[in-house]
Amino acid sequence: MTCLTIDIALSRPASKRRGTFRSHLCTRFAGPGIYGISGPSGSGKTTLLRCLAGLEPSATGTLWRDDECWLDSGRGIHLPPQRRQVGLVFQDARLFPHLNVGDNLRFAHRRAHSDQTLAFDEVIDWLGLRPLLASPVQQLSGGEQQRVAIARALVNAPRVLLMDEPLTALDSASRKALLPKISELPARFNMLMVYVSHDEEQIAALCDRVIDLTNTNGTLSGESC
Amino acid sequence: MISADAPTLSAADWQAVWLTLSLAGATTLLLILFSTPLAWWLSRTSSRWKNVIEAIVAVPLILPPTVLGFYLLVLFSPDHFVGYWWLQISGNTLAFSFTGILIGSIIYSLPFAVQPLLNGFEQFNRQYLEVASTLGAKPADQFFNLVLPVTRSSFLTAAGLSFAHTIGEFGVVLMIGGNIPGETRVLSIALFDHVEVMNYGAAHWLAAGMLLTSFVVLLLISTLRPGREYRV
Repeated sequence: MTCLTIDIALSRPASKRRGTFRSHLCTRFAGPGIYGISGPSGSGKTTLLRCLAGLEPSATGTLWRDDECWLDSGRGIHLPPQRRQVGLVFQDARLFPHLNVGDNLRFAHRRAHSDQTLAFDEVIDWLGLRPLLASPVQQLSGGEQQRVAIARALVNAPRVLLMDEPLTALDSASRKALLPKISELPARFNMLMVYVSHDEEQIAALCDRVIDLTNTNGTLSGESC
Repeated sequence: MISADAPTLSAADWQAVWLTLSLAGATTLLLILFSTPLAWWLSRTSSRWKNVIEAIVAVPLILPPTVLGFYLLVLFSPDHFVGYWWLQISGNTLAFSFTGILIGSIIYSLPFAVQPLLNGFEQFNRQYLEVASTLGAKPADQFFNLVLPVTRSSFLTAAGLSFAHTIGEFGVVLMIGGNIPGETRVLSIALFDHVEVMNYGAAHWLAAGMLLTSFVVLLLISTLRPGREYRV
Protein backbone atom coordinates (compact mmCIF):
# COMPACT_ATOMS: atom_id res chain seq x y z
CA MET A 1 0.00 0.00 0.00
CA THR A 2 1.26 3.45 -0.94
CA CYS A 3 0.32 6.61 0.89
CA LEU A 4 0.78 10.23 -0.16
CA THR A 5 0.56 12.87 2.55
CA ILE A 6 0.05 16.26 1.00
CA ASP A 7 0.15 19.71 2.56
CA ILE A 8 1.10 22.13 -0.17
CA ALA A 9 0.38 25.63 -1.36
CA LEU A 10 -0.42 25.81 -5.04
CA SER A 11 0.24 29.13 -6.66
CA ARG A 12 0.89 30.66 -10.01
CA PRO A 13 1.77 34.31 -10.65
CA ALA A 14 -0.65 36.43 -12.67
CA SER A 15 -0.41 36.07 -16.45
CA LYS A 16 -2.11 37.93 -19.30
CA ARG A 17 -4.95 35.41 -19.40
CA ARG A 18 -5.41 34.76 -15.72
CA GLY A 19 -5.02 36.52 -12.44
CA THR A 20 -2.93 35.36 -9.52
CA PHE A 21 -3.85 31.89 -8.44
CA ARG A 22 -3.35 30.58 -4.92
CA SER A 23 -4.77 27.71 -3.00
CA HIS A 24 -3.80 25.34 -0.28
CA LEU A 25 -4.34 21.62 -0.37
CA CYS A 26 -4.06 19.40 2.65
CA THR A 27 -5.01 15.76 2.20
CA ARG A 28 -3.90 12.17 2.18
CA PHE A 29 -4.13 9.62 -0.63
CA ALA A 30 -3.80 5.96 0.30
CA GLY A 31 -4.02 3.28 -2.31
CA PRO A 32 -4.21 1.13 -4.42
CA GLY A 33 -7.12 3.00 -5.93
CA ILE A 34 -7.94 6.04 -8.02
CA TYR A 35 -8.16 9.49 -6.49
CA GLY A 36 -9.91 12.01 -8.71
CA ILE A 37 -9.10 15.70 -8.84
CA SER A 38 -11.85 17.74 -10.44
CA GLY A 39 -12.48 21.44 -10.96
CA PRO A 40 -12.75 23.97 -13.76
CA SER A 41 -9.73 24.98 -15.80
CA GLY A 42 -7.52 27.35 -13.85
CA SER A 43 -8.35 25.77 -10.52
CA GLY A 44 -4.88 24.27 -10.13
CA LYS A 45 -5.44 20.62 -11.10
CA THR A 46 -2.44 20.39 -13.41
CA THR A 47 -0.31 22.44 -11.02
CA LEU A 48 -1.13 19.96 -8.27
CA LEU A 49 -0.01 16.99 -10.39
CA ARG A 50 3.17 18.83 -11.41
CA CYS A 51 3.91 19.49 -7.73
CA LEU A 52 3.45 15.80 -6.95
CA ALA A 53 5.76 14.85 -9.83
CA GLY A 54 8.41 17.36 -8.73
CA LEU A 55 8.11 19.51 -11.85
CA GLU A 56 7.24 22.72 -9.96
CA PRO A 57 10.45 23.95 -8.30
CA SER A 58 8.56 26.79 -6.62
CA ALA A 59 6.15 24.47 -4.75
CA THR A 60 5.95 25.13 -1.02
CA GLY A 61 4.72 22.97 1.83
CA THR A 62 5.37 19.34 2.65
CA LEU A 63 4.86 16.18 0.71
CA TRP A 64 5.55 12.61 1.82
CA ARG A 65 5.28 9.25 0.11
CA ASP A 66 5.02 6.75 2.95
CA ASP A 67 8.06 7.67 5.06
CA GLU A 68 10.03 9.26 2.23
CA CYS A 69 10.06 13.07 2.19
CA TRP A 70 9.58 14.51 -1.32
CA LEU A 71 9.15 18.11 -0.39
CA ASP A 72 9.73 20.17 2.70
CA SER A 73 10.22 23.74 1.61
CA GLY A 74 10.96 24.82 5.19
CA ARG A 75 13.94 22.48 5.35
CA GLY A 76 14.94 23.08 1.72
CA ILE A 77 14.10 19.53 0.61
CA HIS A 78 12.90 19.11 -2.97
CA LEU A 79 13.38 15.60 -4.30
CA PRO A 80 13.88 15.81 -8.10
CA PRO A 81 11.35 14.02 -10.36
CA GLN A 82 13.90 11.33 -11.25
CA ARG A 83 13.87 10.04 -7.67
CA ARG A 84 10.16 10.20 -6.87
CA GLN A 85 9.20 7.00 -8.69
CA VAL A 86 6.11 8.57 -10.18
CA GLY A 87 4.65 8.10 -13.62
CA LEU A 88 2.97 11.06 -15.30
CA VAL A 89 0.68 10.71 -18.32
CA PHE A 90 -0.01 14.08 -19.91
CA GLN A 91 -2.99 15.26 -21.95
CA ASP A 92 -0.82 15.04 -25.07
CA ALA A 93 1.09 11.78 -25.27
CA ARG A 94 4.55 13.39 -25.61
CA LEU A 95 6.09 10.29 -27.18
CA PHE A 96 9.75 10.75 -28.04
CA PRO A 97 9.75 11.56 -31.78
CA HIS A 98 13.08 9.90 -32.66
CA LEU A 99 12.06 6.51 -31.26
CA ASN A 100 9.47 4.06 -32.53
CA VAL A 101 6.80 2.65 -30.22
CA GLY A 102 8.93 -0.25 -28.96
CA ASP A 103 11.94 2.00 -28.31
CA ASN A 104 9.78 4.52 -26.45
CA LEU A 105 8.70 1.69 -24.15
CA ARG A 106 12.24 0.32 -23.80
CA PHE A 107 13.50 3.84 -22.90
CA ALA A 108 11.18 3.74 -19.88
CA HIS A 109 11.75 0.05 -19.07
CA ARG A 110 15.55 0.45 -18.96
CA ARG A 111 15.16 3.24 -16.41
CA ALA A 112 12.52 1.42 -14.34
CA HIS A 113 12.15 2.82 -10.82
CA SER A 114 12.11 -0.47 -8.96
CA ASP A 115 13.29 -4.03 -9.31
CA GLN A 116 9.74 -5.23 -9.12
CA THR A 117 9.24 -4.18 -12.72
CA LEU A 118 5.94 -4.96 -14.26
CA ALA A 119 6.26 -7.59 -16.92
CA PHE A 120 7.08 -5.66 -20.08
CA ASP A 121 5.22 -8.10 -22.31
CA GLU A 122 2.20 -8.17 -20.04
CA VAL A 123 1.74 -4.39 -20.32
CA ILE A 124 2.18 -4.48 -24.11
CA ASP A 125 -0.39 -7.24 -24.53
CA TRP A 126 -2.83 -5.75 -22.02
CA LEU A 127 -2.91 -2.47 -23.99
CA GLY A 128 -2.86 -4.24 -27.37
CA LEU A 129 0.36 -2.61 -28.52
CA ARG A 130 2.18 -5.60 -29.99
CA PRO A 131 1.21 -4.87 -33.61
CA LEU A 132 2.43 -1.26 -33.21
CA LEU A 133 5.88 -1.90 -31.71
CA ALA A 134 7.82 -1.16 -34.89
CA SER A 135 5.71 1.86 -35.90
CA PRO A 136 7.07 5.40 -35.86
CA VAL A 137 5.09 7.37 -33.29
CA GLN A 138 4.11 9.94 -35.91
CA GLN A 139 1.95 7.33 -37.63
CA LEU A 140 -0.22 6.54 -34.61
CA SER A 141 -3.75 7.82 -34.02
CA GLY A 142 -4.45 9.91 -30.92
CA GLY A 143 -5.87 6.94 -29.05
CA GLU A 144 -2.91 4.73 -29.95
CA GLN A 145 -0.47 7.44 -28.86
CA GLN A 146 -2.16 7.74 -25.50
CA ARG A 147 -2.12 3.95 -25.03
CA VAL A 148 1.63 3.98 -25.70
CA ALA A 149 2.07 6.86 -23.24
CA ILE A 150 0.24 4.88 -20.54
CA ALA A 151 2.28 1.77 -21.31
CA ARG A 152 5.48 3.82 -21.19
CA ALA A 153 4.59 5.08 -17.72
CA LEU A 154 3.65 1.56 -16.55
CA VAL A 155 6.79 -0.29 -17.73
CA ASN A 156 8.77 2.33 -15.81
CA ALA A 157 7.27 0.70 -12.66
CA PRO A 158 6.15 3.82 -10.78
CA ARG A 159 4.81 3.67 -7.25
CA VAL A 160 2.29 6.40 -8.00
CA LEU A 161 0.71 7.02 -11.40
CA LEU A 162 -0.46 10.55 -12.16
CA MET A 163 -2.80 11.21 -15.08
CA ASP A 164 -3.55 14.69 -16.37
CA GLU A 165 -6.69 14.60 -18.53
CA PRO A 166 -5.37 11.66 -20.56
CA LEU A 167 -8.63 11.26 -22.51
CA THR A 168 -9.46 14.89 -23.25
CA ALA A 169 -7.70 15.10 -26.61
CA LEU A 170 -9.28 11.86 -27.89
CA ASP A 171 -12.41 11.22 -29.95
CA SER A 172 -15.31 9.62 -28.13
CA ALA A 173 -14.69 6.13 -29.57
CA SER A 174 -11.08 6.08 -28.34
CA ARG A 175 -12.20 7.52 -25.03
CA LYS A 176 -14.75 4.73 -24.57
CA ALA A 177 -12.15 2.10 -25.44
CA LEU A 178 -9.54 3.43 -23.04
CA LEU A 179 -11.72 4.28 -20.02
CA PRO A 180 -12.20 0.64 -18.84
CA LYS A 181 -8.46 0.01 -19.18
CA ILE A 182 -7.68 2.95 -16.91
CA SER A 183 -10.28 1.85 -14.41
CA GLU A 184 -8.71 -1.62 -14.32
CA LEU A 185 -5.21 -0.26 -13.68
CA PRO A 186 -4.99 0.06 -9.87
CA ALA A 187 -6.28 -3.43 -9.15
CA ARG A 188 -4.29 -5.05 -11.92
CA PHE A 189 -0.98 -3.38 -11.14
CA ASN A 190 -1.57 -2.71 -7.43
CA MET A 191 -1.04 1.00 -7.86
CA LEU A 192 -2.07 4.35 -6.40
CA MET A 193 -3.39 6.66 -9.10
CA VAL A 194 -4.26 10.35 -9.10
CA TYR A 195 -6.53 11.23 -11.98
CA VAL A 196 -7.19 14.83 -13.03
CA SER A 197 -10.15 15.75 -15.20
CA HIS A 198 -12.64 18.56 -15.62
CA ASP A 199 -15.13 15.96 -16.89
CA GLU A 200 -17.30 14.98 -13.94
CA GLU A 201 -18.71 11.90 -15.67
CA GLN A 202 -15.21 10.51 -16.20
CA ILE A 203 -14.27 11.22 -12.61
CA ALA A 204 -17.46 9.58 -11.34
CA ALA A 205 -16.92 6.52 -13.53
CA LEU A 206 -13.28 6.02 -12.51
CA CYS A 207 -12.54 7.32 -9.09
CA ASP A 208 -12.92 5.91 -5.62
CA ARG A 209 -12.60 9.33 -4.01
CA VAL A 210 -12.82 12.82 -5.48
CA ILE A 211 -11.34 16.13 -4.45
CA ASP A 212 -12.99 19.11 -6.05
CA LEU A 213 -10.73 22.11 -6.48
CA THR A 214 -13.61 24.44 -7.37
CA ASN A 215 -13.67 27.54 -5.18
CA THR A 216 -10.43 26.72 -3.42
CA ASN A 217 -8.91 30.14 -3.51
CA GLY A 218 -8.43 29.64 0.17
CA THR A 219 -7.88 26.39 1.93
CA LEU A 220 -9.13 23.00 1.05
CA SER A 221 -8.76 20.17 3.49
CA GLY A 222 -9.27 16.55 2.78
CA GLU A 223 -9.36 13.71 5.25
CA SER A 224 -6.68 12.72 7.74
CA CYS A 225 -4.78 15.95 7.66
CA MET B 1 39.97 27.07 -68.02
CA ILE B 2 42.56 24.43 -67.25
CA SER B 3 44.74 23.92 -70.30
CA ALA B 4 45.95 20.49 -71.32
CA ASP B 5 49.53 21.15 -70.24
CA ALA B 6 48.52 22.73 -66.95
CA PRO B 7 50.70 21.52 -64.10
CA THR B 8 48.81 19.47 -61.54
CA LEU B 9 49.31 19.88 -57.82
CA SER B 10 52.83 19.97 -56.40
CA ALA B 11 53.92 18.31 -53.17
CA ALA B 12 53.65 21.72 -51.48
CA ASP B 13 50.06 22.04 -52.67
CA TRP B 14 49.21 18.61 -51.30
CA GLN B 15 50.78 19.67 -48.01
CA ALA B 16 48.44 22.68 -48.04
CA VAL B 17 45.48 20.38 -48.74
CA TRP B 18 46.37 18.18 -45.79
CA LEU B 19 47.00 21.17 -43.53
CA THR B 20 43.66 22.74 -44.47
CA LEU B 21 41.75 19.51 -43.83
CA SER B 22 43.52 19.12 -40.46
CA LEU B 23 42.69 22.71 -39.54
CA ALA B 24 39.04 22.36 -40.62
CA GLY B 25 38.66 19.00 -38.84
CA ALA B 26 40.20 20.22 -35.57
CA THR B 27 38.24 23.49 -35.72
CA THR B 28 34.96 21.63 -36.28
CA LEU B 29 35.57 19.17 -33.46
CA LEU B 30 36.54 21.84 -30.93
CA LEU B 31 33.73 24.16 -32.05
CA ILE B 32 31.07 21.49 -31.55
CA LEU B 33 32.46 20.69 -28.10
CA PHE B 34 32.52 24.35 -27.13
CA SER B 35 29.35 25.55 -28.89
CA THR B 36 27.05 22.81 -27.59
CA PRO B 37 27.00 23.94 -23.94
CA LEU B 38 27.04 27.59 -25.03
CA ALA B 39 24.04 27.18 -27.36
CA TRP B 40 22.23 25.05 -24.76
CA TRP B 41 22.72 27.75 -22.15
CA LEU B 42 21.61 30.48 -24.60
CA SER B 43 18.48 28.51 -25.48
CA ARG B 44 17.44 28.15 -21.83
CA THR B 45 18.61 31.30 -20.09
CA SER B 46 16.54 34.35 -19.32
CA SER B 47 19.68 36.22 -18.29
CA ARG B 48 19.94 39.81 -19.45
CA TRP B 49 23.38 38.91 -20.77
CA LYS B 50 21.82 36.60 -23.36
CA ASN B 51 21.54 39.31 -26.02
CA VAL B 52 25.05 40.55 -25.36
CA ILE B 53 26.53 37.05 -25.66
CA GLU B 54 24.52 36.37 -28.83
CA ALA B 55 25.81 39.59 -30.37
CA ILE B 56 29.42 38.74 -29.46
CA VAL B 57 29.04 35.27 -30.98
CA ALA B 58 27.63 36.82 -34.19
CA VAL B 59 30.35 39.49 -34.60
CA PRO B 60 32.61 37.35 -36.84
CA LEU B 61 29.73 37.21 -39.38
CA ILE B 62 30.19 40.87 -40.30
CA LEU B 63 33.63 41.78 -38.98
CA PRO B 64 36.34 41.97 -41.67
CA PRO B 65 38.59 38.94 -41.04
CA THR B 66 41.62 41.21 -41.09
CA VAL B 67 40.26 43.11 -38.08
CA LEU B 68 39.85 39.88 -36.12
CA GLY B 69 43.28 38.78 -37.32
CA PHE B 70 44.84 42.07 -36.28
CA TYR B 71 43.55 41.88 -32.72
CA LEU B 72 44.57 38.24 -32.41
CA LEU B 73 48.05 39.13 -33.70
CA VAL B 74 48.36 41.77 -30.97
CA LEU B 75 47.07 39.27 -28.39
CA PHE B 76 49.48 36.54 -29.54
CA SER B 77 52.51 38.81 -29.39
CA PRO B 78 54.97 37.91 -26.59
CA ASP B 79 54.61 41.56 -25.47
CA HIS B 80 51.04 40.78 -24.47
CA PHE B 81 50.44 38.66 -21.36
CA VAL B 82 48.47 36.06 -23.36
CA GLY B 83 51.25 35.58 -25.89
CA TYR B 84 53.87 35.74 -23.12
CA TRP B 85 52.04 33.16 -21.01
CA TRP B 86 51.75 30.80 -23.98
CA LEU B 87 55.47 31.24 -24.76
CA GLN B 88 56.34 30.40 -21.15
CA ILE B 89 54.31 27.19 -20.99
CA SER B 90 54.85 25.89 -24.53
CA GLY B 91 58.13 27.40 -25.62
CA ASN B 92 56.58 28.62 -28.89
CA THR B 93 54.82 31.76 -30.01
CA LEU B 94 51.14 31.57 -30.87
CA ALA B 95 51.52 33.88 -33.86
CA PHE B 96 52.62 32.09 -37.04
CA SER B 97 51.79 28.66 -35.62
CA PHE B 98 49.15 26.01 -36.33
CA THR B 99 47.73 26.47 -32.80
CA GLY B 100 47.42 30.20 -33.49
CA ILE B 101 45.44 29.76 -36.71
CA LEU B 102 43.35 27.07 -35.00
CA ILE B 103 42.32 29.59 -32.32
CA GLY B 104 41.62 32.18 -35.03
CA SER B 105 39.50 29.67 -37.00
CA ILE B 106 37.47 28.73 -33.95
CA ILE B 107 36.56 32.37 -33.27
CA TYR B 108 36.01 33.11 -36.96
CA SER B 109 33.60 30.16 -37.45
CA LEU B 110 31.91 30.38 -34.04
CA PRO B 111 28.57 31.77 -35.31
CA PHE B 112 28.38 29.02 -37.93
CA ALA B 113 28.40 26.41 -35.17
CA VAL B 114 26.41 28.20 -32.47
CA GLN B 115 23.54 29.48 -34.61
CA PRO B 116 22.29 26.12 -36.02
CA LEU B 117 22.63 24.50 -32.59
CA LEU B 118 20.75 27.36 -30.96
CA ASN B 119 17.95 27.07 -33.53
CA GLY B 120 17.73 23.33 -32.93
CA PHE B 121 17.69 23.66 -29.13
CA GLU B 122 15.07 26.44 -29.26
CA GLN B 123 12.79 24.29 -31.40
CA PHE B 124 13.28 21.28 -29.13
CA ASN B 125 10.12 20.72 -27.12
CA ARG B 126 11.10 21.00 -23.45
CA GLN B 127 8.10 18.95 -22.42
CA TYR B 128 10.02 15.84 -23.53
CA LEU B 129 12.54 16.58 -20.78
CA GLU B 130 9.76 16.61 -18.18
CA VAL B 131 8.58 13.21 -19.39
CA ALA B 132 12.14 11.87 -19.34
CA SER B 133 12.75 13.15 -15.82
CA THR B 134 9.63 11.43 -14.47
CA LEU B 135 10.86 8.27 -16.23
CA GLY B 136 14.03 8.51 -14.15
CA ALA B 137 16.43 10.02 -16.71
CA LYS B 138 19.03 12.31 -15.12
CA PRO B 139 20.05 15.52 -16.95
CA ALA B 140 23.09 14.04 -18.77
CA ASP B 141 21.02 11.00 -19.76
CA GLN B 142 18.31 13.34 -21.07
CA PHE B 143 20.82 15.32 -23.12
CA PHE B 144 22.61 12.39 -24.74
CA ASN B 145 19.61 10.12 -25.29
CA LEU B 146 16.92 12.66 -26.08
CA VAL B 147 18.17 16.14 -26.99
CA LEU B 148 21.14 14.96 -29.06
CA PRO B 149 19.27 12.46 -31.27
CA VAL B 150 16.24 14.73 -31.75
CA THR B 151 18.40 17.73 -32.74
CA ARG B 152 21.02 15.77 -34.69
CA SER B 153 20.26 17.63 -37.93
CA SER B 154 21.36 20.84 -36.19
CA PHE B 155 24.64 19.17 -35.20
CA LEU B 156 25.15 18.05 -38.79
CA THR B 157 24.50 21.57 -40.08
CA ALA B 158 26.77 23.14 -37.45
CA ALA B 159 29.61 20.71 -38.22
CA GLY B 160 29.23 21.04 -42.00
CA LEU B 161 29.12 24.83 -41.99
CA SER B 162 32.06 25.11 -39.57
CA PHE B 163 34.13 22.75 -41.71
CA ALA B 164 33.32 24.48 -45.01
CA HIS B 165 33.74 27.95 -43.57
CA THR B 166 37.16 27.09 -42.14
CA ILE B 167 38.31 25.78 -45.51
CA GLY B 168 37.42 29.16 -47.00
CA GLU B 169 39.31 31.17 -44.40
CA PHE B 170 41.90 33.63 -45.73
CA GLY B 171 42.17 36.99 -43.97
CA VAL B 172 42.54 35.71 -40.43
CA VAL B 173 45.16 33.13 -41.39
CA LEU B 174 47.11 35.66 -43.42
CA MET B 175 47.22 38.09 -40.49
CA ILE B 176 48.16 35.68 -37.70
CA GLY B 177 49.66 32.74 -39.53
CA GLY B 178 51.56 34.20 -42.41
CA ASN B 179 52.57 31.68 -45.03
CA ILE B 180 54.66 28.91 -43.47
CA PRO B 181 54.53 25.64 -45.46
CA GLY B 182 53.23 22.75 -43.35
CA GLU B 183 52.35 25.04 -40.46
CA THR B 184 50.09 27.86 -41.64
CA ARG B 185 50.08 27.76 -45.47
CA VAL B 186 46.47 26.73 -46.02
CA LEU B 187 44.77 26.24 -49.41
CA SER B 188 43.37 29.73 -49.79
CA ILE B 189 46.86 31.16 -49.23
CA ALA B 190 48.46 28.64 -51.57
CA LEU B 191 45.90 29.73 -54.18
CA PHE B 192 46.78 33.38 -53.61
CA ASP B 193 50.49 32.54 -54.05
CA HIS B 194 49.83 30.78 -57.36
CA VAL B 195 47.84 33.75 -58.67
CA GLU B 196 50.54 36.20 -57.59
CA VAL B 197 53.13 34.40 -59.71
CA MET B 198 50.61 33.95 -62.56
CA ASN B 199 50.54 30.16 -62.09
CA TYR B 200 46.91 29.96 -63.15
CA GLY B 201 46.96 26.21 -63.89
CA ALA B 202 47.63 25.22 -60.29
CA ALA B 203 45.37 28.03 -59.07
CA HIS B 204 42.53 26.50 -61.11
CA TRP B 205 43.03 23.09 -59.51
CA LEU B 206 42.96 24.51 -56.00
CA ALA B 207 40.04 26.87 -56.65
CA ALA B 208 37.94 24.17 -58.33
CA GLY B 209 38.78 21.72 -55.53
CA MET B 210 37.61 24.15 -52.86
CA LEU B 211 34.50 25.08 -54.83
CA LEU B 212 33.61 21.41 -55.20
CA THR B 213 34.30 20.69 -51.51
CA SER B 214 32.04 23.54 -50.38
CA PHE B 215 29.29 22.37 -52.72
CA VAL B 216 29.55 18.74 -51.60
CA VAL B 217 29.47 19.69 -47.91
CA LEU B 218 26.32 21.78 -48.41
CA LEU B 219 24.74 19.02 -50.50
CA LEU B 220 25.53 16.49 -47.77
CA ILE B 221 23.95 18.73 -45.12
CA SER B 222 20.71 19.03 -47.05
CA THR B 223 20.46 15.37 -48.12
CA LEU B 224 21.61 13.72 -44.90
CA ARG B 225 19.48 15.96 -42.72
CA PRO B 226 17.24 13.60 -40.80
CA GLY B 227 14.53 14.64 -38.47
CA ARG B 228 12.57 16.92 -40.75
CA GLU B 229 9.63 14.68 -40.07
CA TYR B 230 9.98 15.14 -36.29
CA ARG B 231 7.43 17.32 -34.62
CA VAL B 232 9.92 18.61 -32.11
